[in-house]
Amino acid sequence: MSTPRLPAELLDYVVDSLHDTKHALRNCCLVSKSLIPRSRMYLFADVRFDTEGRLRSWKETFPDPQTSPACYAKTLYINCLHIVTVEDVEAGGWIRGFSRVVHLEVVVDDLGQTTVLVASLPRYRGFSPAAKAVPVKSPILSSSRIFDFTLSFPLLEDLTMVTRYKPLADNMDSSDGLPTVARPSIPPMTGSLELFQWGGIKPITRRLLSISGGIHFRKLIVTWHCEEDLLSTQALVEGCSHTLESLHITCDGFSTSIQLNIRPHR
Amino acid sequence: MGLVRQFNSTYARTDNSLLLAEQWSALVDLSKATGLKDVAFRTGLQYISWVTVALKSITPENRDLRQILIYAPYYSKIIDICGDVRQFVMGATCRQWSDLDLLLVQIWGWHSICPGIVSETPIREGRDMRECFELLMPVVTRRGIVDLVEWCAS
Repeated sequence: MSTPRLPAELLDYVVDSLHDTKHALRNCCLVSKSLIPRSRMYLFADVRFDTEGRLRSWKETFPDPQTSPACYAKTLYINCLHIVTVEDVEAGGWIRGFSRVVHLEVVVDDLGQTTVLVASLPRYRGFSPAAKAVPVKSPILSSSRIFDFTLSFPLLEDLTMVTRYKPLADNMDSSDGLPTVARPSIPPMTGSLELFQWGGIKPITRRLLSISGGIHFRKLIVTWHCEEDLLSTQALVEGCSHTLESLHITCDGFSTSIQLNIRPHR
Repeated sequence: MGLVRQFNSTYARTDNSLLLAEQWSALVDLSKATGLKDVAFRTGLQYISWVTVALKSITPENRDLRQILIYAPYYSKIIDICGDVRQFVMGATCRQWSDLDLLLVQIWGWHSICPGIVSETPIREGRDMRECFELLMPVVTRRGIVDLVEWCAS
């Protein structure tokens, strides 16, 4: 007696209806091989490597990159880049299995690993061609370094650069030791631009405004840390005045500096 | 010129604050961003002139504008400052709020936008947010053309 077969669309519909029930999705994987791809699409949509333990667990569970569910990941969060780098080197480009990641979030904050981290960043350039948002948060990477990295993702829409890195001088923003890498093309960048930079947003603003064809962000989120940030914000608002729909400005730090700048009137 | 007590207990003359306010006027101009739908400003404790200057650049041409949010500092601190400043007729901090108050009335007339003021308070201190903002922005609060949102941090 042959096993009755349900149309694939119907099976997909069943799995889709279980998308927020991880336990049920895991059971689907055990019921039939035909349910595995659709179930994995939900089970591994969001992958977080925020500790060394999580990374080891992933590697032990999925030792073969060819059969790992990395290709189902839509969101990838990395908060232990130096460990991921070691694994990636050992496995010969293992990270590139996450080729369909749309939202990649990288936190680079291990001050003891500065040199390793800065040197390792180029390994990840454009590894997921589908990435539309690559927020990078780091106290040790310059805005230029982060800019070059994020622009290596061809479909990038949102640009987020949160860094407490302070360059020694205005023209020293890319002074973290590596040459700027050439980009084949500029991604669309039609989503949001978020800038939070202790050293000021002037250098990155200058680079953004020098892009041929201009900037086309719909949302601008800026935190001011120095007086020049005001002028830079104005330049950004003007630069994307035709597309801008949302503007968020935070001025906490700047108001403090303004207070400090006030001198008694003579 | 009177003296305004700074929050960090240093002193500065109000005429310096006025100079600062003039500097703001060259800054964030929203008039060309005619597709703007929402703006949000998170301001520091005392210098809110930049918010007023930015909002002043909004014109009837900004037809799509639907939301204005102003994140104010802890209102209990504001009222502490204004409580002191009331002793000085030329108190710069309260005057800045007053300018913003009148501007928001004007924007209400142009765009029918009811701005939101979000203010954080760390703990309940027996002070009412409305009471604080009636002091700072009497026109918009009494006319009910501002949404006061209290965010109580746990």
